[in-house]
Amino acid sequence: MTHYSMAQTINLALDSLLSEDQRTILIGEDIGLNGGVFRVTSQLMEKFGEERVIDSPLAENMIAGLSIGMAMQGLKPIAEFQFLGFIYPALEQIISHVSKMRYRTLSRLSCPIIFRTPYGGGLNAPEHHSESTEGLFAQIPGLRVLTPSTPAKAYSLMRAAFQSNDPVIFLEPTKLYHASKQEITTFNDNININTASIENTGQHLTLISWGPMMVESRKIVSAYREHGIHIELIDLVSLQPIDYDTIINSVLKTRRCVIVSEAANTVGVASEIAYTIQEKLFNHLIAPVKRVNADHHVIPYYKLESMYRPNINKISKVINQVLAWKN
Amino acid sequence: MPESMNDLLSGYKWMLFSRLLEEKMVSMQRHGEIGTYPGSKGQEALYVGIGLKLGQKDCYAPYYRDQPTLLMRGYRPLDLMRLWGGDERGNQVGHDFPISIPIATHILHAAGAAYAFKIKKTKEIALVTLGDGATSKGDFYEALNFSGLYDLPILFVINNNRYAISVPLEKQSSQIDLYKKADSFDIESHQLDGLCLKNTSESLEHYINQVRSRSRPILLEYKTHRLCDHTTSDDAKRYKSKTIIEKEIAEDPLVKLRNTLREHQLLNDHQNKLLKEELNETIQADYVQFINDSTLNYADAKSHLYAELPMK
Ligand SMILES: Cc1ncc(C[n+]2csc(CCOP(=O)(O)OP(=O)(O)O)c2C)c(N)n1
Repeated sequence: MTHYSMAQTINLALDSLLSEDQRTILIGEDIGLNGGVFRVTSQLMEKFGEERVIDSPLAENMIAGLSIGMAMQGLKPIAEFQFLGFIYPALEQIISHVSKMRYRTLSRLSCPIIFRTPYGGGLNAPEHHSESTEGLFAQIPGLRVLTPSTPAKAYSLMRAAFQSNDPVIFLEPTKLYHASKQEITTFNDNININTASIENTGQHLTLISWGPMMVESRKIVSAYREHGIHIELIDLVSLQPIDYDTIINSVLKTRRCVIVSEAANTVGVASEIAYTIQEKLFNHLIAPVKRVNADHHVIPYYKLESMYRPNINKISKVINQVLAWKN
Repeated sequence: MPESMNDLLSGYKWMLFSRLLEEKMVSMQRHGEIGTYPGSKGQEALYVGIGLKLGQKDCYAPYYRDQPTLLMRGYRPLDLMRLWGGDERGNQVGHDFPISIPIATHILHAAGAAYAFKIKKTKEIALVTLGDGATSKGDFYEALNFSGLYDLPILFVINNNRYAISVPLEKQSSQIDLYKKADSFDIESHQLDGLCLKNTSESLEHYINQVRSRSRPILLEYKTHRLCDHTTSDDAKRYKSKTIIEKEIAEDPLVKLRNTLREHQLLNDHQNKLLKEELNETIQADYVQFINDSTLNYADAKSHLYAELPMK
């Protein structure tokens, strides 16, 4: 029985993609000899050579721009940004070209690129290293935004992202890279990038979350189960597009919903989901749909981070409000 | 007739074709039939030089100023009418990259393409065009750095018309000899006359061959004049003096080439008139098709956002 961390399973997924498809190229800062600052690309340059695993110059806009040219000449680049907080110079390339290329050329050209990057807090990292700005990308039509929440899902999701031929922002929860290892007997490709996964079924309330916050969400589900309250837990997996079929079917049953994420509170993925649920199930809801996000505030430096991020107490409080709701 | 003279005559036809199409496009814009349109007038010798010498399978990464080369690489007037008339089908032509509107961003795409050629070990090269203004942007330096670092088969071609909309080169760049910017990347570069087709086509042939055979980047700065406004929404008289405008018009590359061809008895006035009529007929036929077209469909267009359409 072998146990794997998320850093290891992503490494294995990248290894498999480099082996199976000669078009696969990795590009990013420190991803070669050093194996990436989180060791996600460890040993890949040694195995596949410097031409296919590029230790790139330090320029994020360049990484994105080169990936576009490579992709439009038939390669399949998987680019790493060292942290989500440093992806911003590449936004022009991602928004103005990556997301639009297929549409504006009516499928003559496209940008099947995976942009990988760690995101989220919880690591006592320096400033700018703990951002959860996934909503920026979820706002952009033409992109897919995916985020795994376990080592096994990370493996399958990376491979599914590669097969999709659409540009993908692949958000890897920094906190989970080396957190806890998962026992995995067989690696498989049984994930569909269009579908959210129901991790636990229940009839009392739907709890929706993704990425790093799935850790807290799972603990909450177990704790409530002890008290006879059965929460249906949905791991969103894809933040753009959003699998509303799964969400609506679940809330149709539970009639109560709480959405948990680490992003700032306003104008985000959680707000979007809440909007759609009220639109589709207005007469059906017993309680308002509630979000538990971080405050609408820049992420504070780490001594105050725990005040800012949602935690089990904050989430439970909101769940209790929703469960006890009386009109 | 020597080969080079042949080139000049066929080059002249393309230059004239683009010039006549530009007249039509400006008039269409004035009549509300297309949107904002950027002309190429005065810069045709450079763009036709590229069209004559770049290999069919090479990768060309153009920007919005490049109409003459686009015509030579498979765009019909209809495609260009669509391109500037609000219809994405104008980007569906050939195998080159589509024109880039965000300044300088496409320079990196060309470098990425050149990297692909290099590792696929094919003989193709990438050619990217950019304006003088584009040399201020990070993408330009990032692309030079990466291309130099990896010895990429890429030719950077600067169309230095000395203005970025209204901003003159002297306000744009601390180094006004733009070709020198390549020095710090250890990339070979040259400053050349972009007004004479003989000069542009010969130099492009030479340097394209160099890039291909040595797999090394080269940068060429061509000095041109933009004889049109920046786009149909612009008025160059706001920032160019009458003296400058007159001096530039006196150096019109199309007129210059016509005179050369006349001197060499390759084109007399009657032949020129017939050529013009023939080209205008082609343009007119496409114009009629463009104006009467009703095949554009929103649902079709929307189906191209994703490779695999996500759920509703
Ligand atoms: C990134 C970006 N900023 C601003 C603009 C608006 N804009 C369009 S063309 C232009 C000037 C470009 O000048 P230059 O690169 O010299 O090319 P030219 O138009 O003279 O051929 C500007 C500022 C743009 N298209 N892209």
